[in-house]
Amino acid sequence: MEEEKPHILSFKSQIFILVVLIMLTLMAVGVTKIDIGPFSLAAVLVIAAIQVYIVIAYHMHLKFETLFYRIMVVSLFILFVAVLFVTLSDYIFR
Amino acid sequence: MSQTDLASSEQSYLKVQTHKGIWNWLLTTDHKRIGLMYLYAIATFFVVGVILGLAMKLELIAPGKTVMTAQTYNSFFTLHGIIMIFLIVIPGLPAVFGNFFLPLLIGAKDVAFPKLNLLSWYFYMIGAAVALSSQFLSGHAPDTGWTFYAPYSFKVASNIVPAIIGAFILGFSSILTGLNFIVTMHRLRAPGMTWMKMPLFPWSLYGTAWIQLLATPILGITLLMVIAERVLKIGFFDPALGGDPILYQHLFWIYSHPAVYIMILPAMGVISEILPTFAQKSIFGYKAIVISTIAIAFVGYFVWGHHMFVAGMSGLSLYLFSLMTFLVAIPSAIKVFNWVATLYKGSIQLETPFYWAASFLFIFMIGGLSGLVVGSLATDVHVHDTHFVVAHFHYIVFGGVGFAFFAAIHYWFPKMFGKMYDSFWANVGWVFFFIGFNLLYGTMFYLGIMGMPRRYFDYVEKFHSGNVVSTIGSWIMVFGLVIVIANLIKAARYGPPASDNPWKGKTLEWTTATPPPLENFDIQPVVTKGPYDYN
Amino acid sequence: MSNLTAHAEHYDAKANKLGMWLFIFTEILLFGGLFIVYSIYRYLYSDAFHLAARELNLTIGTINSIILLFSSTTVSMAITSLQKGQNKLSGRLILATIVLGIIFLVNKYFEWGVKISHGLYPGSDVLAGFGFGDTLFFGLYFAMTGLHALHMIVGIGIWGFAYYFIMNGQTTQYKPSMIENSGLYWHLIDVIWIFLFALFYLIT
Repeated sequence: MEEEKPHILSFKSQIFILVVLIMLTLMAVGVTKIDIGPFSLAAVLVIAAIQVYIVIAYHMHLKFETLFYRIMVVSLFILFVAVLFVTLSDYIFR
Repeated sequence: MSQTDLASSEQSYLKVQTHKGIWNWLLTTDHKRIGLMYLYAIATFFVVGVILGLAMKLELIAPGKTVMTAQTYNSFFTLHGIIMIFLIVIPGLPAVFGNFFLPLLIGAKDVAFPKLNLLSWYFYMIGAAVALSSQFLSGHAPDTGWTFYAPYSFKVASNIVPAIIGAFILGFSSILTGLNFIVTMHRLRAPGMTWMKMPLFPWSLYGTAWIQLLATPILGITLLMVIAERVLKIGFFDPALGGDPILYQHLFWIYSHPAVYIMILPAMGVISEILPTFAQKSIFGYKAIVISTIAIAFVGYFVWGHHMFVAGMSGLSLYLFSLMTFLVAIPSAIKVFNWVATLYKGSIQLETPFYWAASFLFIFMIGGLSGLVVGSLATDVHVHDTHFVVAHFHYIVFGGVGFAFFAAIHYWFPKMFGKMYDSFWANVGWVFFFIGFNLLYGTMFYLGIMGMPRRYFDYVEKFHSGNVVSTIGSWIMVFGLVIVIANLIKAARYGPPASDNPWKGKTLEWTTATPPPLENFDIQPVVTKGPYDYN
Repeated sequence: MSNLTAHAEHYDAKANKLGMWLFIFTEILLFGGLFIVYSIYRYLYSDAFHLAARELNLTIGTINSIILLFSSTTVSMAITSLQKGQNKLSGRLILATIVLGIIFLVNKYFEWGVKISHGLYPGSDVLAGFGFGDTLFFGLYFAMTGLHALHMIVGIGIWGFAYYFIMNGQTTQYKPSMIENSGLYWHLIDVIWIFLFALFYLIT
């Protein structure tokens, strides 16, 4: 009747995650102040991706869900990025 | 189980009273009643769409003005497209037969979220009303075509916004139905029914549901962007503000191509149900059909540019899209081979559903093969925006979804209504429909290759005789349609009672009463065998 | 007789969670369409985008980002406290989330107000005068942050319902779907903002 107990994220972990996310935000802002040329966009996006991963994996619990969910979410992002690149490639190669 | 439970569980769903009067329908959460409400709405809108089509063909019977002005012709083909695409073929099979039979086919009591199911129906009705209001509000009816291409769609002074908002609301209906079906199949399959024991119509609905879920939002946001363009001058598609009209086409077709798989996958699923029953033989290559279904759903996301071969895309995009288009044809072809192989050495029962399903194979093949002509760059340049394309998509969409829909209604009618229809008149209707359909659309292949443009109210004299044949074909086809529909309506009211399993089918819906009780099965079915076990 | 339909609807937390995730997917793709438009015009007008981004108020943007991160934390904590049976604490954390959300929206309101008063809004002559890149940057800015703000307003409304359900005992540690799924929705809004912040404020 009662399935496995749901995974509970502790208050301590949540505070820790908050601190990490704030630090990453400030880091991303900091990156824009220093001149690293063409890498600034990449750096900002990488930091954003890490933040998004943390929110999805921990706050949205994906790390503790079944494999099906992880496959679905990853497949969705892959599908979206693929559609994005196919569209963009029209403009790049015109 | 108490006496009242027993009595109510045996009562046909059509006799159960959950609310008073018309609220018994409008507030129902029973998937079967919801399926019927979709059926009645869709049938009504279909009649309107057919009348528009007939009017257009009548205009085209002779060059020059015949019965309407050019402006009227443009608004007619726009409305014909909006109704047929958004109100009939996209919702059609999932909303009617998916709703009615998905829970039955997987041995469940209802869908996962019955109240959400009713909400989907209301979104459908409200969306339809808002879209159709574009015809009656002050201002002109839209004349952009159902594709609403920029920049015309944001420049023209007509009721584009209500039409677009209607389509947006209809999108919600589609998304929520897809969501409901996915959760239903994940959570409510009968004990023992593993994924690979699930029948093929549910599998087709599963693939369809993912497309409904993942493609429709893109259309939603694109339509909002058109409204933003009209109202706020946001600039995304306006060259005067730096935007690109072709970007609209990209976004529009990123949804609208997968949408055709929303249309055809359930149709293929219906055929996969019907052929085993009327061959009294298991489906050939069950696993291959499942994999092909998933493959079509997935690969279908990457072919949208084949609607834009002459729009102005880059060379690389042209090659990529044409290649993917040829690849996506392969799983469909695999299914056709498997269907034919199912019939081979089967014990063929010549009944009405079989006639529709067998003719589906013929019509679908023509549609599919003509798709290779338009999917190939060199030939498409000549036939794009001609009647060849019109023929292609009517064969594959009307031919595919339409024949499958009529096959499905003739197959499942006894189960749904508890009555049997007159086979003789059903078959007569089918013959006229089949002949008329091929005259109507077959000639369009020829007209298109000869160069007759589509969406034109007029044409030059050399296309005249072809158009006469085509228009006469439309009359023969509609004559057949009237016979088919009248026969079914008569049967629903006055037909003789049907038995529980008139076709000797093996799937779960045939194991319960005709019509089914409210919660589908008196005892929860437990599944031990595959779905088409005719041995 | 109406018991018949009610009888069919038992509580299935797994179904509710799956349904919510599927809805999340549709939201990702809804914003995704705008991200596609952004990518195209970013590619075509990269210099103009780079310069236009400097017009945005990085300070307010950063503060708003941090506010949303805090609100995601209060949401997570609200779920944890509910799972531990601490319903009152859960309710208070939800109220805190609502307050943070409102502050975010107020900041946004002022931010937009400044832009509009400077003539930087879709359809303005000022914007047309700056050229295509600026027109599209600000068009996308208002469209995407606007759609995001709309989702936040809906989210705040949903938290209002969640608070009500927790306080009247309909949502509990044994039937947590309402708060868990509302949380998923809110975290998604945070995810979208993380990308919006990077792509509009940080491309200087």
